[in-house]
Amino acid sequence: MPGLGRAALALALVLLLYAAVVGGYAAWKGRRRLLESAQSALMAAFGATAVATAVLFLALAFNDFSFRYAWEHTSRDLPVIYRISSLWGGQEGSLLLWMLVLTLTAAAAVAFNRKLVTGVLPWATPIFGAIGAFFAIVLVFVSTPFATQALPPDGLGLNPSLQNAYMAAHPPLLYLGYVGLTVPFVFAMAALVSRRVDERWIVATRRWTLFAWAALGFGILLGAKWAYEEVGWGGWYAWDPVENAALMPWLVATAYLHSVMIQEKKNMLRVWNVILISLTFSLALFGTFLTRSGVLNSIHSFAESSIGSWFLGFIAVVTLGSTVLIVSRLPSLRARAKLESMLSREAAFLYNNLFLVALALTVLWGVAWPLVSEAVRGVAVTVGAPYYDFFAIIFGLPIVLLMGIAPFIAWRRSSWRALARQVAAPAGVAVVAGVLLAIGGAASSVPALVGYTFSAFVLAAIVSEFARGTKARHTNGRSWASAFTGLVGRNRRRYGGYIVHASIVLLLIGAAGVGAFSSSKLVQLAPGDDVSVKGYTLTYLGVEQGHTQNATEVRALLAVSRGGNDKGTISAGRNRYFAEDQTSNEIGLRTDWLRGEDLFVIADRFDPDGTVFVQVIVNPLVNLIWLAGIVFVLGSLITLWPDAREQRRIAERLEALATFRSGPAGRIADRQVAPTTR
Amino acid sequence: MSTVAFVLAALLGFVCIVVVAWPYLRSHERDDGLDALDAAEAEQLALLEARDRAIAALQELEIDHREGKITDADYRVLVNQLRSEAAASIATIDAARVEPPSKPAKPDGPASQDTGDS
Repeated sequence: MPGLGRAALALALVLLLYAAVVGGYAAWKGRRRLLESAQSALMAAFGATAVATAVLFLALAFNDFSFRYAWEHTSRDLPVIYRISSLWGGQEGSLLLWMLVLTLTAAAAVAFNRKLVTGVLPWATPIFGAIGAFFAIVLVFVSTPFATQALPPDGLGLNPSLQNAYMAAHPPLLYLGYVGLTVPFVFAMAALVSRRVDERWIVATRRWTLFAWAALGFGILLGAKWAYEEVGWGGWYAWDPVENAALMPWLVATAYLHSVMIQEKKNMLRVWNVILISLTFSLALFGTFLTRSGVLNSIHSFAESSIGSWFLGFIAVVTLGSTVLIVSRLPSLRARAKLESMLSREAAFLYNNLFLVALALTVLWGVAWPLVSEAVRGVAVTVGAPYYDFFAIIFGLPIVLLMGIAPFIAWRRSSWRALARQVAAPAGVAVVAGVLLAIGGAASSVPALVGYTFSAFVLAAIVSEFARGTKARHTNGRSWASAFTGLVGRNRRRYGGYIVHASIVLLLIGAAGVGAFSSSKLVQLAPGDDVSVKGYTLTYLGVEQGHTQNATEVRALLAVSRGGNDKGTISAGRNRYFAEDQTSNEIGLRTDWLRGEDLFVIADRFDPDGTVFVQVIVNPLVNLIWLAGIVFVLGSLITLWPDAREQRRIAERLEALATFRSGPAGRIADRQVAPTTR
Repeated sequence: MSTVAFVLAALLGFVCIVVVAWPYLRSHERDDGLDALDAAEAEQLALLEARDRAIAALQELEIDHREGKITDADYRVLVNQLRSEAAASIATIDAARVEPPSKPAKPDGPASQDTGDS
């Protein structure tokens, strides 16, 4: 039923335009029912988009190849899970998913914030409507997922590299992140339009921002896991422009999450925060543009792309519009409070902001430079990993160091003496760890040794913060367990944040392990030959062949031993997919949790004489990267968990305001009652 | 478009129209103004927030002092400053409860009588 899908999308477009135009008029004129009608249009737009998505989903699930999109991205033999994930395997489906998440988020954000930001909310509705309308226009007029054709016997299948469980989860998480970051952007713009530039819009959108940021961060890590297992070059992050596309908004959003705390606590950095959230949203759009416009292949494929110029135009409108709005509101954005000391928690957050934004802009330059060069000079250039690695170290290490120092610095002002006393123990731990690691051989890579020393410092600082807080509560008569849970429960944002910091440290340790200390060997093996890498001996046993639902498999089977002990077998090879008529590398992976390392095998050339080219890689500490993902989610959940005391505080404040609003009448009633009660 | 698709699309369109028109179908109240804060109410809310901010800052200062992150001398200066801020907010809130500073007075309503009384 492509007709129903097309009609639902057209309806969604009309509803979103209604929300934008009528909502804007209602906000301007202060018309309540008209505004409620515009807000209802946002909800109805979600319903219509959900119907359109369901139509496409059913076509994919039931192999209706009269839908061109289903024909291009599925086949009869494709396993069900990948038929479902093919919904976001192509451009039109991805954009539809963007719009579905956006309309849902917009409707929910408006519905849940009715009481919190009364002055700002009216303007959020038309801005949400305008952003949604852009995606609806693209889907209705430029890149429709409901194009039809004469029914072919089978589909073309899904790109083999996308037939991976991590790829089934990675894109939706990125979209949740990108789209979720729309919420703080929209409320920031609405606050500027309505001139309600206090911190209320920040409080109202805090959890949305945290959720979006966590989803984006976890999505990036799932993408890295996919690259590690599916792309099969032995690494986990290659500074690929598509990877960087998601990293840039995440870095700026991280800076924003820190700097808004200063606005909440001291009403400072108002201009900086709206700049950060505008930049975050623009980078999220830029990321979608990069991955969907074809611009990364070449400028020429961008020119041929149906949506590239649309996205570029929209990014220009968003950037220009938000800049004009910020500049026009500068007088009311200026804060009265000032930074009291350069040695304070807020100053430390500011330094962290500068490093994070500098890193994001450096990555942006690395992504943009090849595009600019090709467009202006006609010369295609590439910016390689050394460029990114250099700046990741230059800006990343100070960020890590600040993660360890900042918790020891008091808000408003601190003293060098107090700070020195606080950091003495963690610094001692770091120095001891650094010396031991240097003796153990880690000095072969100075950046890694510095990274590990800083990591030890941060971990010691985090442990010290937890220990000190728990001890303080324990001395008040609570059990250790109750003191610990109470500490985290009453300060979720702070201690959840520390857990997130710990995850970043784990990531750093893992990344440094893979980057500086992995070992690799490429050899041609005949049956019976063996190869040794870092204590592992692999003996080539021969070739195995098999088949799955939609592919044939060729595998080189290798016996693994270590120190004379048999460790089983490992196999690596290639898959040949029938419908797609493509091959993919399938790596062999053996994880040793005790040693904290991976044995990683690539076999990508099978010769007729029975020999095979095998690359064996030993990746130390790589699993800490994946463990970091789990810790990151845990920390984010703690930070996100609703705080009953905060809800109570807001409710009390609204109650006090309601009392104030009914004040004169109430006082009159009091006065009339007073004589009789005396 | 097939007949079934057409009927379903028409049904979807009808439901959407009802949803959008619902605020008008549901309520016939004459008051159609937005529930916005006037200047006095906005000021009151800002004061309530400033009070809560000052109290939260005091609590954080206590924790920082207890954990040795701030010297006694700095603590004394800051605690006095924050207490003054909190006290000032509370005093202004209390005063505003008695006499709203810029609430529009109705000529013959209770607001003007009350304002005169306080």
